Order: sequence, then C-alpha cells, then structure tokens
Amino acid sequence: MPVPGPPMLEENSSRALAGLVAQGTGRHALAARCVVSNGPPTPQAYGIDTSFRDPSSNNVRTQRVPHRKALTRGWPEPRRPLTNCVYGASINGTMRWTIDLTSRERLQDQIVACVRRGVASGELPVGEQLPPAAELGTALSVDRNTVLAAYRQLRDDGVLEFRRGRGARVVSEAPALSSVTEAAQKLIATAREHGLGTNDLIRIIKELT
Amino acid sequence: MTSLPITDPSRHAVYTGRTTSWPMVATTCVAALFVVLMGKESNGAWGDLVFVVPLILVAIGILANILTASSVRATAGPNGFTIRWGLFGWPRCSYRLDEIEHAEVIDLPLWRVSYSLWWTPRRTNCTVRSGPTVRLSMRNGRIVTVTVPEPAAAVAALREASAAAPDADTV
Repeated sequence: MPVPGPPMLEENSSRALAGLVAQGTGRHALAARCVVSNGPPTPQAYGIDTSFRDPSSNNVRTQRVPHRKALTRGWPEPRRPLTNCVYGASINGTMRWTIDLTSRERLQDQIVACVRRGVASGELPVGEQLPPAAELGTALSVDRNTVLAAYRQLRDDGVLEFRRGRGARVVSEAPALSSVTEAAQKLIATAREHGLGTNDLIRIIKELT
Repeated sequence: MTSLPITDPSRHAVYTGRTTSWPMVATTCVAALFVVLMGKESNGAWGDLVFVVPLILVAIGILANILTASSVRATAGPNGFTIRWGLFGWPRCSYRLDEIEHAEVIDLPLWRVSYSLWWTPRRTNCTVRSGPTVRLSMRNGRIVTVTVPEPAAAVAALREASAAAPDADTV
C-alpha cells in the first residue's frame, strides 16, 4: 500500500497572513498566499508565498517567507486550518475582480467572466452574495447598468438568482474547468511542436481575444 | 513556487470582501429578547409612557445596531479603499488612493476588536473580529483599521493600483 506524502493545505486567508508586510522586507508585494503544511513541524510549515517584482530583472517572483511566530514560538504541527483561529466573525464574500478597460471585449462580458472564474475557483460558493451593482460599478469605474447587465446575463444562465432585499446570490456551481485544462494542454503541445514558446502563445491568444 | 504574470497597467484589479459579524447579530438578538421579556414581566406597564418610551428607544437602537453593525463590506482598488457597513451600506467611509500613505496587514488581538464603527480624532476602527486586519496609514495622520476577509489580497490590490497610477506614491 503506498504511503501518502504529507498533506498540504493551502489557504487564502489565515492568521499567518498577518506577517505579510512585516516579512515583505519592503519589496513591492503584488500578491500573497498563505501556505500551511501539515507535514513536519518546521518553521517553513507556516509560510506566506509573497509575489514581488524583482527590480533587477523586472520579473515577478514568488518567495516563501516563514511566519515570524513560527520562528519565534516554535509552533507545533497544525491540527486544523488556521482560519478557525480567527475569532469574532465569519469570513465570507471575498472576490478579486479584474477587468481591462482597453480590451476589445465588452465590460459586461469581462464581469461575467470574473464571476464565472470566482464560482469555478470556489471563491464564490453557492449562496454567496455578490456586491451591489452600484458599489461594484463604482469600484470598477464602470456604469451601474453594465454591472446589472452582467448580473442579468448570469441570472439567465442560471448562475445567479435575484431576491428582493438579498441582492444577487450564487445558486449553482460552475462546471469543472477540466475540459478547458485539457484543451489548453493540447494547445501547448501543438505550440511546442511548432516551436512556439509561452510568450508567443499568450500573444496569439491576446490577438484573438 | 509559483509566479504571477507581470502586472498589466491597463488592467483594473479590484478586491471586494464582506465580513459578517454573527456574534454582534446574536448579541443584539439576545438583547432584544431581554427587552421584550423585561416588558412582559412588568405586568401592565406597557401603557405607561415612562416605561414605553425608553423601551422604544432601546428597540430602535437594537434595530439600528442590526442594520449597521452586522457586516462590513470593503472595496480596494484604483478608486481607493471604501468601507460600507450593514445592509444598506451606511455608514460609509471612502479613502482615495492618494490619501493613503501606507497599507499593511496587522494581527489584531481579540482585546483590540471594536465590534462596531469606532471613531476618534486620530483613528477609525471598523473591526468585527480578531486576526489579520488591514491597517491604513493616511497622509493626514489618521489610522484606519478595517476587518477584511483577505487583508493581504486587499493590500495587494491597493499596491497594484498604486503602482499602476502614474502620479501615486507607493502605498
């Protein structure tokens, strides 16, 4: 019987994220992801993957920074996700929206894609409430009616439902992205056969979209 | 190790998050129940204005507490940082990107949680739980502490927006 390796538990939010900026050493952190390992109780078991731009090469790099408390207090092996260590309120309704105002793709479709990505990735579970259209429109610098049109399109597709006084909520799980992943793998393999690199592929996709 | 794509200046990245304070909702409901039971125990005092008027005021306060202090919605992006409270998004605080001098993630201890909107001349606290919390240092000296589901993502969105802004200093 094969012995399974140490399980890795990745969290988007946890108490360990508190050390992000303290451990960021002043670099321009672009994103961070907390990684908690249920493996050996080493300081590196609690860490934060911090993405920053390397000034020398201008590339975005990711470095795992051990959590400061893990270093100073010698935390034991975690028995549960650190998210449960947060007292006082439930954590819900978190979402990252990315739109390109210069893209040829309609803003409405970009918002729809954001919601679909959020549902597919689990950021937006079933029952989750989306931000009001006016608030999201202000944040994204788009018109409120554009957001409403995107919400209506998602409602017609069966992803969202509108309830009076409760806003727009997610009602269905998005289909798995396995088919997209398989198609992407085929595309990458075909590109390799023709001698195209990653940047060439990205350029072609951008031109097509 | 994973690497992220290089930030596109034309990209508009916004973080939105909502935190619901269920302890506040539960505490307020228990307080409302206590007020109702206290009224029932008074045996015929419902018609007495001396009793009814404070009771109505307490009920209004409890209702206002549920409507405003039950949840915090935060938005971080190129338009700055916006905090909205409760079901109707009020009270509301907005901080433009050029008003924010520094944004960081702090570890808020349990005894520093305000569980509501707490305003002083130098500080604004909108915290409903302990743990990782966003702290904004404003250029006018004000310190703003806000509960956000994923504070690191909110800070990253602010920094990305600041980096994309041509005339903004580093957040």
